Amino acid sequence: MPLSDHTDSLPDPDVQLMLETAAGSETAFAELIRRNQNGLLNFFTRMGVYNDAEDLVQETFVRVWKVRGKYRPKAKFSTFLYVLARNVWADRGRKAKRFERLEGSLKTDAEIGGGKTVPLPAGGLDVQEALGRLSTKLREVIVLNIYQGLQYQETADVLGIPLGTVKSRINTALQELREFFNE
Amino acid sequence: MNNEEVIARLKSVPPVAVSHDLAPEILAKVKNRRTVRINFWRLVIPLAAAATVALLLGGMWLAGAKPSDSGRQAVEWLSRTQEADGSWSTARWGGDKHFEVALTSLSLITLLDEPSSPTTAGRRQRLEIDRSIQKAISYLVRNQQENGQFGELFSSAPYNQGIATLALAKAYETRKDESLRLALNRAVSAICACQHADGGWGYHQEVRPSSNLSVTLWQIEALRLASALGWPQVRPNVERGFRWMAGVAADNGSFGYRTSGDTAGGASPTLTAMGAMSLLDPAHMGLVTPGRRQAIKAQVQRLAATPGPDMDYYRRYFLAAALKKMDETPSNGGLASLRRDLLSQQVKRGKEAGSWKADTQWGSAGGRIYSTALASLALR
Repeated sequence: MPLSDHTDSLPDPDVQLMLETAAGSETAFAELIRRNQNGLLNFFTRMGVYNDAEDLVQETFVRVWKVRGKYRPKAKFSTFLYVLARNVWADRGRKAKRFERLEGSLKTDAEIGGGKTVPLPAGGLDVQEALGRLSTKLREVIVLNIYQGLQYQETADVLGIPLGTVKSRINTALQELREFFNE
Repeated sequence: MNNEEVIARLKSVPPVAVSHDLAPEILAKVKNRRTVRINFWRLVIPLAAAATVALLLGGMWLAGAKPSDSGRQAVEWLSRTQEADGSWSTARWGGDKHFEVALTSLSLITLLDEPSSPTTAGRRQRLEIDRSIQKAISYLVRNQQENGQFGELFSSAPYNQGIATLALAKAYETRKDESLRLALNRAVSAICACQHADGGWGYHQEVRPSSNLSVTLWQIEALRLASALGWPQVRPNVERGFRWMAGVAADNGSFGYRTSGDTAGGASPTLTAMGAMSLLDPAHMGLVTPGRRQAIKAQVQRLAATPGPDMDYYRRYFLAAALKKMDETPSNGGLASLRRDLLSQQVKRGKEAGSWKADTQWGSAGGRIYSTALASLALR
């Protein structure tokens, strides 16, 4: 089963833009944002964030800017970007949990924060529900590999887990999704 | 259903797209949050040199003013002088009573911008600052009318409106409070309602309303921050405002109230600093030609190269902001000399320690609150 574990040998234009950004070019940074903002937005929405997904996209790029001096083009730019995005997503989850504890009751996503709500795509409710039933560990491998198009090794690098674990998690996730869709 | 079918089902959901291009907002954010990247040797060598000088001069260096101390002292002075109702009084500190809303707002912005110190004393001071901030916010909200306008209606009321809205937006940035959001929403609506057809803003009650750079700048700054905080609908207002402002710039990069040179004595250095601060923002690079942009930068460099103790605090504040947008660091060039001047003029001892005298232009309108808030902000 190939999934998206393809290889490509074309140069990564984002790496070049990131190198220019690291050198201080705001024009390159703006272009980097434009090339990746939709991808990141979809990452966050598929991870279950609707209310302030655009804020998280912005925060991710702010972090890209902050660490630009440490960037080394050892891997694809997407690996670097999604490591930061996942951290932003995790931080947001921790903040939401603190908020819920303070409120003393569980709030739905739509009630947390005041950001712009990203509309759910029409007809995608069952898929969103299916993804929502997966554990975070399974959901993130599906989102990164199937939706965001990261290769197995990239997914492993982003999540900091072995390649074999990525593959087994994808299989488990697909099995759970199949059961859900067959219900 | 096999795995391929599951994947096809997952991919049947079309991707979503961002509501607008996020690049300008992100660039504005990184500009605002930009931290000075400290090169180890750049830090160590001057520190070693400074320590040597300190030893040689018997500790005199330790008695010298540093921007961090200066900011702390300014904030302490502001906290100390706040009235029980949360305002800062023009009767006590000079200035025109009509501008108490704007002066309270400038003080609030200064308090909001003060970085926390990790020490115990710093935490205690932070609590006091937070109390002052809350009182100032309450004062502004109490002085807002149903239509969003702050204070009474008079010719120069748009200054109160713009600066108070900016202060509330800065407060909302860190305190996502519902009453604050409602107040900010009303304030933003009031600003939008007063925008002229040409894109600028001007004084109230004019027989022939005309846009004015100084008034326009505060409205734009307030709306710009609001747009990033959840009011994207005001972006067209901001864009039109910037376009109007870009039209004020002369070929040589100078500005006036409506056209360069419309003030007594030719192009106004203060208005040039204000216009430069706005138009040198990377998010609005496309509004002026590269040649005009270079001319604006040259004007900023020229203004920074001709400092003087009588320079008004508006000019110092906007000049510092423009120099920062030109990537000047606090340790060199015009920004360094501007900061040195400010530090040397801060009151060091006595009841008014931490403040700045209001003895330059516009001191009669803003008093010691205006000079202290803007001087302190220029040093950040």
